[in-house]
Amino acid sequence: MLVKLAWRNIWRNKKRSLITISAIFIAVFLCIILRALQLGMYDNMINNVVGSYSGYIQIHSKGFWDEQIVDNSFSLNEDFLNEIESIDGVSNTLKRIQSGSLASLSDLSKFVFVTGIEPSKESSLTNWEKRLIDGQLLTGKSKSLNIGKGVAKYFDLKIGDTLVLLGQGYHGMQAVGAYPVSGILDLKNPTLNKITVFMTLSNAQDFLSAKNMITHLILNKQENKDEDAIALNVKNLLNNEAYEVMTWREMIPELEQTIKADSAGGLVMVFILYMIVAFGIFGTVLMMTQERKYEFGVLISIGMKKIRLIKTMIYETILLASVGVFLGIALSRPIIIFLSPIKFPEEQAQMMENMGFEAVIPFMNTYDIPLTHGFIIFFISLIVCLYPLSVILKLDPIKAMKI
Amino acid sequence: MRQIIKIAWRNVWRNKLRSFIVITSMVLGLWSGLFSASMMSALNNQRINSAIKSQLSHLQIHHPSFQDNFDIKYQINGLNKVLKALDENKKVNSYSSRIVLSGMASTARGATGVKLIGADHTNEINITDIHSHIVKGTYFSGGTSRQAVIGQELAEKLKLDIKKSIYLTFVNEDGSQERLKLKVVGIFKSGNSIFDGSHMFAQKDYLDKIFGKEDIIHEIALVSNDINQAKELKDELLKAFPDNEIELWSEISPELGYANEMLSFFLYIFMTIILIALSFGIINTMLMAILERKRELGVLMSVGLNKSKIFLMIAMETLFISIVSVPLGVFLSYVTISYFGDVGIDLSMVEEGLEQFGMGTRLYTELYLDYYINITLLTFLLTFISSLFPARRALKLEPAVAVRSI
Repeated sequence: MLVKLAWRNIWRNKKRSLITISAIFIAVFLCIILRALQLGMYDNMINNVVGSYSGYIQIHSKGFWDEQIVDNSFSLNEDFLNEIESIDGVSNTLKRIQSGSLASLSDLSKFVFVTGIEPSKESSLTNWEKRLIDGQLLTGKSKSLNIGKGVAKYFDLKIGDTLVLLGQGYHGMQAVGAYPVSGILDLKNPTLNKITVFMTLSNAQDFLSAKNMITHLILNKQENKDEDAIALNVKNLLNNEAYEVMTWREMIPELEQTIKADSAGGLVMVFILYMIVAFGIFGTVLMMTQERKYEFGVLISIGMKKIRLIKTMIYETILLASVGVFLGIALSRPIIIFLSPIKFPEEQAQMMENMGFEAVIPFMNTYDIPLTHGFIIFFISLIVCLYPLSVILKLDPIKAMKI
Repeated sequence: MRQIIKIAWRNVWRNKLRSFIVITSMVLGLWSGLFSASMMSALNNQRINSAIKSQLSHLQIHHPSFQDNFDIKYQINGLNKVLKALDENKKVNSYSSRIVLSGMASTARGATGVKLIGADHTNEINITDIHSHIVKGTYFSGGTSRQAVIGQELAEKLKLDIKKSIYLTFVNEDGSQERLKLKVVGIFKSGNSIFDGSHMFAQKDYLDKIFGKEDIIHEIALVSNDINQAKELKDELLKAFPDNEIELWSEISPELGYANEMLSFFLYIFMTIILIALSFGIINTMLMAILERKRELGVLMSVGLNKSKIFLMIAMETLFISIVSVPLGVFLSYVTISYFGDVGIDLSMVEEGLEQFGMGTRLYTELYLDYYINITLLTFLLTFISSLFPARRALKLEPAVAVRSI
């Protein structure tokens, strides 16, 4: 009966209900938007810094990270690769082999890292087309090189010139080769630009006499998946004695630290927003209570028990809050899906793109953000509802019915 | 008109609880928003400052090819003219000219690639703050001139301690290999482990003696009077010396510049969201207030207060509330931000986390003036817009119906 009463109360004064619902709706909506943006910003920072080259997770042979030589490489059979790729959250894998070499052209020579890559797959990490400044990208069968623009500048090199590479191959083999340069890349990272020489994986394996061997296996994750959980799964799958599994957190600790410091501040921001929306809801409920004092007075004087009135209020609040929360979640979805990513103002965007970063903030699109925040606001509404309840408890019907 | 304003003002104070709630939420919202923004930007600035002070400086000048391979022969073009220009330029606070040798540092225990920075250390202390990050030994002292100050990670890699010798092998201008023997007098920890693992400092006088001349300079690191002038200064210098490479700190370390841009943009988004939340709080509360005052408004209408006056009255009420709260909120923020800007917030609780950035344990809040101004204007604009909704709502009341409502 009381639920029915609450339901009718809501429909009796539609304007009033609408205002209360909209207060709760705005609260849920804004909290979801803020949090989705915040987490999206960190995700984008990580994506920009690690996603373009180092990847989220790398598998090496044990000891490679401390001593990056080609002897610390490993071979990977297909079954094993399939098993890793089938781990939940892994979107694809990239094989690389990397070794330091001396590159020379006429009388100049320079230390570079020769990296063998699978050209078609690398484009899943980053848009290579955008990075190409001159010449052509490597394709599956190329016998040529793509080099960083810093290397090209050092040798004052043009497309078609031939670089002589001299390095240490697998198990002490001599690695020597002369390769034409077919493309110059801007890797958007000053250090990488100066030391990077790419060739195809099979070409590099020949060059280093390391047939079927690789030094890095890079795992890419699907969007919004947790790389730590994936790394743990990979670790369980692999023989820990022979391999090391590293996430970007271990490979680039500085970025991790920066994000940690920022996200502490981010939580403060969310807390502040909660405080403000709580005040907003409270202000609305406060005025609602004042408006209804007369009505409460009448009900009590015709004999309704205060406790039953309180119950009705609670049902009303639950109904209104549920509708508000539901609307907030529902209406934030299209924004998160269609407005993402938010673009930077022109001037800043230019500057950031020059630095090699994407000047956007995408929304983090997960389900736990709306659920958590919807639940919190629902809870806040219930707490705010304590105010009308205390008013009812203290209500003196005679006074309340005077206007 | 004056009467309406007066009535609106009194109406604000008639329902004290309502006005109090709205004013508190605005003041608190502005205050906490601005204060947390100031904390965030202070955190960010301190992080950048620590990187600028220990390694980047505001600007660095090199030969355009020097940074490709740190080849000793690529020295700064037209050195004397550059130095003269720097001496004369009023934007330059101080600068340090350095010899930079890239080579192999070795001891009996191991070898690793390093960058040796040879500078006049009495001058260098104006540019970098390595001298205040010494964890063991001293930052150069009298006695032998073959002194070296090395990073902590480097010391660990090579198992070095103070008073031990370190050898640096590098390629000289004529292509021959040279070997220097230096004595470690101090070990520093700047907070950036990569920097600490690959850098050592030596005295320029000693290197000058080795090379037999004084004008080998690969790098000029300079600090301008104000970091915001650095970009202008760069453009000026680049115009005067197009044959040198001149880079801003954000170009030397793009990641840091990126985080900086990202954050300042995000702070604006954050404040906008806060302000939207505030205005909706106001709108909803005032709308509900209209419902509560239905009868009162009905009476006013029936005794002849015309619609435009009703509209004005309600809009004025909302505006008055914001006129009271905005200055209060901004003033409160200003006072706390400048207080904690002087005294600092003790962050010793999270000290460990901050030390990794090479920051102190105190956070000094700060916020630019234009941020205050923008936020104040934005708040007024939003409250103006939000004052229109309840006023419009009031217009829709039917006097005859409203009077009878209870």
